[in-house]
Amino acid sequence: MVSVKDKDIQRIIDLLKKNQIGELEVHDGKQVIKVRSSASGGAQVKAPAHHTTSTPDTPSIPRTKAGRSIKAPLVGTVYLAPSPDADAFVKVGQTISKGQVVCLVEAMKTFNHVKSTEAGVIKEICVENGHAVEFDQPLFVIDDA
Amino acid sequence: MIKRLLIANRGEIALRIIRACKKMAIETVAVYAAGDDASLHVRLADQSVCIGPAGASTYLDIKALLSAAEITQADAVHPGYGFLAENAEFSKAVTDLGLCFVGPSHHLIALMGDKINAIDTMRKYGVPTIPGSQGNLPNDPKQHKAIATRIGYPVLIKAAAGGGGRGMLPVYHEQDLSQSVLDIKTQAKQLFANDDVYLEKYLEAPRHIEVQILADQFGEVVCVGDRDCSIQRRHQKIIEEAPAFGIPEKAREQLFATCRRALKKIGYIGVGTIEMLYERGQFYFIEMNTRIQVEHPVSEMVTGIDLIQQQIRMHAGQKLDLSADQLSSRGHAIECRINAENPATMQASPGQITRLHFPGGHGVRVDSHIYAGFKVTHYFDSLIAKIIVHAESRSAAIRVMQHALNETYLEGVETNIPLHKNILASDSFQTEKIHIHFLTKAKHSADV
Repeated sequence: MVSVKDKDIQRIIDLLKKNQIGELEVHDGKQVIKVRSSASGGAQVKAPAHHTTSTPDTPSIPRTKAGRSIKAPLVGTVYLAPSPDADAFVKVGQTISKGQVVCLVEAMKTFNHVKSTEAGVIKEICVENGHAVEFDQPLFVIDDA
Repeated sequence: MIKRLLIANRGEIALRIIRACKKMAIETVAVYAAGDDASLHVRLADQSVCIGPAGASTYLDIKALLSAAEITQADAVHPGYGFLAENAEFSKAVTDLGLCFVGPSHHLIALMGDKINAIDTMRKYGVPTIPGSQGNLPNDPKQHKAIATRIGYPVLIKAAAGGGGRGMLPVYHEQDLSQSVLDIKTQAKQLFANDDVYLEKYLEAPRHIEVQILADQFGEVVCVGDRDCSIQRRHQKIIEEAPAFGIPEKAREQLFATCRRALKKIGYIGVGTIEMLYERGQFYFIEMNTRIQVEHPVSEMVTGIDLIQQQIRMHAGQKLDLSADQLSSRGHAIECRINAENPATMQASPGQITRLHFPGGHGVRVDSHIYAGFKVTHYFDSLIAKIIVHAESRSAAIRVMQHALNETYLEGVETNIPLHKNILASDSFQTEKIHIHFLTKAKHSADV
């Protein structure tokens, strides 16, 4: 495990935000810390050195998320609404129950309903409609009401 | 030419395929099961996709593999070896999606995947086969006795859906036949969901000789060489060499011509290997593998051919175009399969590789996906590296391999390197007295 101090990480995050840098990687000879700014403005820390690959048409996949997350149970394309014209299944701030359908993941023309593994409040939607998702990729961050 | 290839596999073969693609400027997509993300094939591919939970079954999940091909817009899929490489359903599913499957059509996989069909097909086209029941055993035990008597004891009971050395049992005496047939049928039902069995003559001390095939979509079929894979432990190959020593040139030419003719007739495309047993100057066809084999590097070393590159070219619709040099063989190559296992008991030895040093030098090649820090898990088979050497003669190759194994340093898991050293040092191996029962007849387990 990486043995950096919290203040070191905070300093790196501050540098990132202050200089409006998207991603910062710090090597100290023994270990590497990578910090990337997510679309929503919050910074995420990845440790230890980890090569994240991304496809040209899909966003980089964050490996860690603060809070609990509902993860993709299969690889495919995520849809946030039951059909193109309908409202999204869930919204940020919405209280949901365990087993409630939160999105669809389509694989090979089959649409799979993704159900929430727990009750709580949707804190964040981590993916964009129509984008590719991997197995276990965080889709929603959920927290207690 | 293929633009983006998805590798439906992992470990050393996934890495091998990625390396060929890099040479050919083909983009690569790696897939992996959760927890396998630290694998080299994931790190080195242009893109990677996690397709399922930890474990081997994820690599058998056809839907997940195809979904990954869809979202990455791959135009071809390479199945490697093992997993779905000889799965007709997978081959069809990939081509139904409009993608190129770097392997045979589902018809050919189905034809050659069933052992009995394959034997019948090869016999029809003149390839010599082992005397056998020529079909699945009927249910009547009395008929079993008659068939076995006709073949002559000892006989070998084999599962029709088996392969890789599984689902086989020799019978030396008539009184043991019925019970043995029942035992194998039960085993086959459990392992392969198919309890069809057949009988074959059991050869006492044959060599395992196989022929490497390359075929293009224009009807051109070439035998690029042969290999001897006699050194096996519980039917698993552990040492392979090219070319097969001591085969009279005329016999080899005749064998190659017969194989070529048979494969032309069935319209084979891509790479494949025809496996034979060889005893007292006679070849006997046992099975065909419609995929790239683990031991392909020894053939590459003596011919200079990049078999994966050629395989991809064949399936991309290019003509076979080997130089005169590539169509001939130089020197001798040996491969040792390094497994993470106890050398005496063969029990798998998972763990984290804490220190690692591989050999090098002239004529030394290592195909491996492991690195210092890599965790060898219990989920997958125990092959962690292939050490391959090439020298001007078999005796020189043995010396190069012995030194290469001495140079190899690996900490964190047990390996079968001590077993390899014992085999290479043995008089029988060095004087070409080898056959497929070498490791059972002579006690060569390592001193632990």
